[in-house]
Amino acid sequence: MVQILRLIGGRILLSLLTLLLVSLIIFAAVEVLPGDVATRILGREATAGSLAALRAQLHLEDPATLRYLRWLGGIVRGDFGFALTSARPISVILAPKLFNTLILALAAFLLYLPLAIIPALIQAIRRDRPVDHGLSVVTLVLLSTPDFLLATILLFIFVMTAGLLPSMSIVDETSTFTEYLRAIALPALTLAIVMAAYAVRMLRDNLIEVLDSEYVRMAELKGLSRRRVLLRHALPNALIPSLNITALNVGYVIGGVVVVEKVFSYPGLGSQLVNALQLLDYPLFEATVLIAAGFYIVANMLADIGSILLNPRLRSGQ
Amino acid sequence: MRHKLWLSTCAGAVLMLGLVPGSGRAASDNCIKVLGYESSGEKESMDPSGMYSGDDAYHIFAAYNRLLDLDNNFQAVPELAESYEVSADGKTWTFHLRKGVKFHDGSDFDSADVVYSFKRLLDPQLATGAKQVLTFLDPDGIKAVDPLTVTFTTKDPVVELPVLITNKFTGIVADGAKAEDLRLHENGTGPFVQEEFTPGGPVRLFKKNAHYWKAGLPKADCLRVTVAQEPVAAVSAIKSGEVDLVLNVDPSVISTLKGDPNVQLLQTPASNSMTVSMWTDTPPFDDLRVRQAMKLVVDRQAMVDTVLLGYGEVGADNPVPTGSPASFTKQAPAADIAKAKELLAAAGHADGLKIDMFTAEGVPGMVRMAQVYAEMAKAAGIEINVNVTPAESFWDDVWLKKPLLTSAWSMRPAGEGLAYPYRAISDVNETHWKRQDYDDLLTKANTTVDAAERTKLYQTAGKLLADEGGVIVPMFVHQVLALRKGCSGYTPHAQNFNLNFEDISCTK
Repeated sequence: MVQILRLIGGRILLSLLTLLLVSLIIFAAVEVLPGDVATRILGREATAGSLAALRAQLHLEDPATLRYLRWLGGIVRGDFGFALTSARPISVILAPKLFNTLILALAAFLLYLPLAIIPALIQAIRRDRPVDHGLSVVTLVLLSTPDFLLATILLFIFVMTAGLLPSMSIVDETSTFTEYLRAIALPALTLAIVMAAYAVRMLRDNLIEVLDSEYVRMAELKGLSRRRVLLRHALPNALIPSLNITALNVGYVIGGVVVVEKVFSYPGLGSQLVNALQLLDYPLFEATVLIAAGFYIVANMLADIGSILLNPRLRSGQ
Repeated sequence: MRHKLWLSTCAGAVLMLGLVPGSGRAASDNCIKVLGYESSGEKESMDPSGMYSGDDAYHIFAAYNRLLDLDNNFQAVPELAESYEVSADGKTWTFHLRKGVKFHDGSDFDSADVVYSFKRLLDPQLATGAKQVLTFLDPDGIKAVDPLTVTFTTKDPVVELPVLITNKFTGIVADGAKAEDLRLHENGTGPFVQEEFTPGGPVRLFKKNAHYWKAGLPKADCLRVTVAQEPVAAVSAIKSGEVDLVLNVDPSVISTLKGDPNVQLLQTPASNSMTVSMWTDTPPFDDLRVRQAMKLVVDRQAMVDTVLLGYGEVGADNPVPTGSPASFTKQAPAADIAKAKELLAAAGHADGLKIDMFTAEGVPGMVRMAQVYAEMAKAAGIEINVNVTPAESFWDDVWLKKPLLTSAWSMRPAGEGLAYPYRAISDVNETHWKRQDYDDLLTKANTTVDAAERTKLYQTAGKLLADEGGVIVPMFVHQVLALRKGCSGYTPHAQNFNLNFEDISCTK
């Protein structure tokens, strides 16, 4: 038990360190970006005088290290500061966007599980039959389809041809549950399909390997039903190696929402990120990236802890 | 246990798809639904002085009025001012304000509000792009004579003052209004009253101003503005009837809307110029013959057809469209490759010319224009290496820093369009065109009260710029809008920020 706690504690500490490093990299990257936030705010036709006044107002003339420490100090105290462009608190700006993206990611993951597991199961059972080859071709095609194209195709099928869903996934605080469902259906489906296409191939191979193993044969010989063998014995063991690909998929979702949210006009963290970068609103941009990086790091940490806990060799240490 | 979890997941997935048609537009069915295309996100502001990009106009022009409005020929027409006159020396302008106008908070509109609105824009503490376009105004020269009369007195005569003060920043705010309040909450006199607005928020909602000073207007009870930056989403939104008006249809999707009986395509007049700009003081463009050759290689109609897919008009190398009364010509020059070669040879480039051109998709179509231009120039032995740079930083890092690049300008009144980037002292002189005789023409026009005489001066200046200047204006863009069938009363304006939602109405 102590050993596991120590392992987990080590992982958490490492994650925090990574986060700190990420904050430094983000800040440095923004520093070397070309362009000037004052020009972005006032437009390309602003006078030199008003640009200088605005720069002073925004403390843009302070040294970078001072601005970094000021920013980091705020975050440690839980204060992300204010956006340069609108002077609104960043927490107020990001909260609803974060909520929207989390809902979208959650829905995408819920869709992703059956989309990944069911085809993999079918392929593993019907190994080398036409249905296996057929599904392989489908996953390969989906793997090589860029997400924005997939999103556009879904938009075409569900909105323009079938007229079933709204073309713009616009939601805000006043939206009802049904409105949310309709709004996130297509973006979530896009993300889920892209993630599933990666996972299906891996899961199929894992399943086949497990089905060939001796304990499965043993279970079959014991006379257990095929269904029970598959679901109780084979699948859980095939899932463990897939945990990591799921954690990697979290990384994809963070990047994927940028594209998908734009195609479907969904007000989430992804579109916020692009906008903050375009405006060179560095506190807003840095906070957004830091939150996204935080999620990625936490997801990986949880996947690691998950495999620590699921690994019998480590479990037996108690 | 585990397969039960699956079952519920699958059920959830089906539910998630929400394949129940028809419940999408429940909340706001009596609203006119406008779909914009620009998004400046967190920078969005309700404050007219903070007008940054086109998407601020979606809400500011719904909520505010200006003293005057401009028609499509850039002539000033009354709005909050019923009439105006100028003194004989051309230095004092008197504006007579409309009576009985109320701000959205119920207070009365009078001359103090006008004085405050303009003085505020000139305040060095206020971060606004307005100062650049109001340099001729002196805060001490703006005076309230009585509650319904305001005078603007300038040091020198500014004959175009009514037009110049009618820019995108000059929405009239109430006396004493603070910038930090105006950013999030409007208090204007305009046709619509803010219900819902957050910078970067997905929906802007307005209700009808029941006390609007134009009787019977606005026609719509409510206005709902959303933004879709993806052209395909905009197309499906108007096709499915989710929106009533699409403010800009991307050229790439125009063809999918063209044959649709439920959609009407509208076109603005020339809404911005597209330019190829050369530094007139830097080789090889310091040689007039090279500049002329560069202009002669362009097949302008072909450029409009390929770059703008026909939604535009040809230009004559100056910022005034050929249809304007202030244009020196009704006809754009034709391509003449032989003449171009001749001029190049005379300038010592008989073996051709190799040059770098810089461009970015900073304005839609700019990259395509550069590529098409390079192809056309090849015929005359001019080899152009097109450098495409990132659109995000083009205006900061490339524009004004390279001797040959593409640029674009939104439409301005003739006098302003000719002066703004082409006077010697201009901060944005992208062609390094510094000619005393050109500046003198514009200065003279600025003090010429007689309109016909002034137009003649603009024509002379335009011709000089076209013949000898460093700018090629091969074309002007017409923006395409889409209006849902059953809707009427929307007129697109040449200045694309000048949005007027007063007359639009739809039958369901």
